[in-house]
Amino acid sequence: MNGTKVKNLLLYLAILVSVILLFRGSYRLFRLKQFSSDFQITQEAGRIHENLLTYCEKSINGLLDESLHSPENDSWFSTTVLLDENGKLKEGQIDNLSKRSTRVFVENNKRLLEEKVLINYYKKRQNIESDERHSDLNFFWYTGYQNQNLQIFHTQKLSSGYRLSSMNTAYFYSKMMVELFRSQPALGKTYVALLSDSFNVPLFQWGEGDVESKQFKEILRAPLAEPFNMWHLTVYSLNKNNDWISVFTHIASLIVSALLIVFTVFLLLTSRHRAIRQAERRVSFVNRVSHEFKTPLTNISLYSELSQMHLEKKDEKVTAYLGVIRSEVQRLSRMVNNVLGFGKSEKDKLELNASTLTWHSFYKEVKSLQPEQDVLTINYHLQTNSDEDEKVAIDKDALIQVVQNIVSNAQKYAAGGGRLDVDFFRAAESYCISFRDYGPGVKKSQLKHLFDPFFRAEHDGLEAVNGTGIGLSISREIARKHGGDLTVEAANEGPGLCFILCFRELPYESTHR
Amino acid sequence: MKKMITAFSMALFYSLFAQGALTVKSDLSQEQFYNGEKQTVYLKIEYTGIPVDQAVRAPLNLALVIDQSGSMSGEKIRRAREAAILAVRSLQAEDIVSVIAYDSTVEVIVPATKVRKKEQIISKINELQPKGSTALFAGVSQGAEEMRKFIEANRINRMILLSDGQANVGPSSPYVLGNLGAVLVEEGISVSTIGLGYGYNEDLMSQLAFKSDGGHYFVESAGQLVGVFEEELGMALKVVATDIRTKITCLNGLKPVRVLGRQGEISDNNIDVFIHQIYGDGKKSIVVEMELDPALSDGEPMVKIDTAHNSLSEEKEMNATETVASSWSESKSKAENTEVATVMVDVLRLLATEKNELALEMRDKGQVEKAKELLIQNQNYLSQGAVRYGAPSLAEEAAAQADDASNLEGEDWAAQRKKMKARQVESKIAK
Repeated sequence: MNGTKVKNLLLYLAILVSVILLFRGSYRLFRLKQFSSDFQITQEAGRIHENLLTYCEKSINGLLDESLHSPENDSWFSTTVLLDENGKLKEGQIDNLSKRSTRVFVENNKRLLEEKVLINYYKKRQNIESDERHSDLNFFWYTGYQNQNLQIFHTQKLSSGYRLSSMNTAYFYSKMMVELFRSQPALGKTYVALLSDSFNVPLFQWGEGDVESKQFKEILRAPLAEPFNMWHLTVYSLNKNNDWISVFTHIASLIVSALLIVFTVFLLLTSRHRAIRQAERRVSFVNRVSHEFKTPLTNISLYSELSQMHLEKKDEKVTAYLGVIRSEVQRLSRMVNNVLGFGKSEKDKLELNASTLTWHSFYKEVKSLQPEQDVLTINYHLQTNSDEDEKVAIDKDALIQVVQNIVSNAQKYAAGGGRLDVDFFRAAESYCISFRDYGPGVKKSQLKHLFDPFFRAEHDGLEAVNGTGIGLSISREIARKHGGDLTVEAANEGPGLCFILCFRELPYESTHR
Repeated sequence: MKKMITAFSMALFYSLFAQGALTVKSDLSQEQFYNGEKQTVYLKIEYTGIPVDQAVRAPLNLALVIDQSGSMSGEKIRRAREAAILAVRSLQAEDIVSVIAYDSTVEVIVPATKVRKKEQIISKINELQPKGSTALFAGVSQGAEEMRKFIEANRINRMILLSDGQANVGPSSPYVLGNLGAVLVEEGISVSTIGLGYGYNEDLMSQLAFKSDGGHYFVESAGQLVGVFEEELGMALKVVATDIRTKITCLNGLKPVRVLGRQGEISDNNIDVFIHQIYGDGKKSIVVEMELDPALSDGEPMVKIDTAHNSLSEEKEMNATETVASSWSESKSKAENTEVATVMVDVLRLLATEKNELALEMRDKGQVEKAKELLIQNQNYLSQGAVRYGAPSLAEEAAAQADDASNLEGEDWAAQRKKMKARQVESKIAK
């Protein structure tokens, strides 16, 4: 029974999990439904890209401008040197280089200075500008990398020669980060934009997500304008193919969880059914068998009577034995009839056969019963405040059947208690017997179901105990026919159950049936 | 304390004077110099902060820049939140705080604000959730931007940067981060860097701290974070002087060679050294290596020291001029017997730190055996110095070299490298 309980619990759990999965899956599917088509993605990415590109260029140009127009802030430039018309360091520049940083600059940029890279670039740019735009700007920005470190130079034409300034790139970067941070485009969770340098090192990211992961797909990539044309702005979107896959996986998981629910519910229902059917089958088997018993029992009864008559005066001993056989057979027949009657759920037909005996002799008879198993010490006790010779009309056999049923239950389920107290006492008009065991007892919630047909209480580790589950319900019926009842309650102190069987004398009709 | 004591004497081989928030002690490496040959001479200028009552300390402008990248999940972010909350709780109403978190992008959790509504700030800190990559540079930049809103002469401007990983979004070379530190310290901002676990880039973090005169900490497990924040904040609150500028002029046969440990500008006979801040009861030293050529001397060897600093308690600039001179000796051995231990101990420590850095470079190039050899030499050099100058601090340094030498390989190397970096920064700028 414990096993069934665990199994049911697991099944309930499975249903719960499946339902959660189902809801989660549906929610995700609903969310995914909102993804857009290829065309829409490209269009949206294009818009984001254009906006951010414009923003980046504007910010960077703004910073470059700012660096030239804030002379009080010497954080912008790390070094400034003067060059002659030929791009050579002017006379005395190196001697006068008092600052370590300038010396370092000249050492680090030997090639740049010797090959007149900056001057040539300046001339080239000026040609282009004056040809195409007829502008005569007298300075240009130049960017490059040395040992993967960004360098930004400002070259300005002076009346004689050039002034070359090297920007403090760390300062530029930090200012740039702050500027870029000011732009917070609404990218949702679908897009990520990335500004990256010549070595593909990401410099600044807009939007959440790891673009290195497979989730993201590059949609648009373009360089910035001069002089930062070695930097790229890339827009990524959540990978759409991936989305289709996840739509399918989601639908599949939805179907699986739905099937799981149906299957577990089915299992749960069938296991219930099976238990009930099993009990019914057991009863109908008992019924059939009992029916088969009827004819032989009648024959045994008949022939033992005949034998008794035949032997009446010849052998008293044998006659007495035959008498015992007969009465036992009759008892058995009635029991069989009772079972049959119950099986047909015609409880009214419960057949009772009254005989008159003293309360005391009933006690003695019960006490002399031999229990089927010897697993319990049974302590019988009779309250002697009543008249010993008081006679009572009851169906002795039926009541003994009840007693046996209760005792046998105690042997099955409360053997661990080691002891069963059976007290005979009078309560007003009723004759009562209480059976107090010291077993594990039964949960309160199950107590009231004990008399339900086919009900079997849960007993840890007692799955193997057999029985049909109808004994107690028949017993109660017998007690009620006797104008009494069979009740059960948890023992007052300590573990165990206490059954109380009460009965009165049978009414007239029953006595003479 | 404001009264300037002008001690000037040709025969004086050391000088001690107090002004503003500091006392200054200057020594040459020997009391007498041999007049027969060229030799190396060291000058040590030691500043000591005069502590002020914490109740009237200068207000703080603090930025907490916290890594909330994916790798910070679990105990790390929990402890980081706890540490940041502790920092906020220990601030006063006149202090400024800003909280910036960075992952793939930057988030200004708390814009620079006076610490009036602590609970509001704390509840925002509690929302920090780890995700994404590590945009460290953008985080620091944004932190600085928040601080710029409140930079004033009498504030202590301090950024505390916490990171546990490689800066993988934004510039990440130690060179650029060092430059950033140099730019920030010019603006008056010190960045203290706290590296958590074994995954962060100690070169980058130590450069940033070193160049901005901040502290650099290697925290092995998240459990120690709260303690380190407490220590760092305690230091920041004790700043008594900022913007300490020292100009050293070498006279009479002395010629500057280099500044040990710190950065300095050398031009002709002048050396300029900048120290961003000095803590109450804390010492910071400048050690300069010079060459003494008796042939070029027309008097006693002598250095003139001009110092200026900003005293936070008096909210004004303090200036002083001081001279340290030494006399000539005819005997080489006699001159050498006049060595000044307090100077030599620092010289030895700084020279050993240089060798330690060299050993680390060798190890990075895979020259494990050579690095080990150098470290063991270094250890011997330091232990001999410890005996000669009676300096237990040098014995400790020697032990550290031995520890480095025995952990150049294997599993412990990653942690050891971080320990080495942290110790190098401490030796150069914190002592």
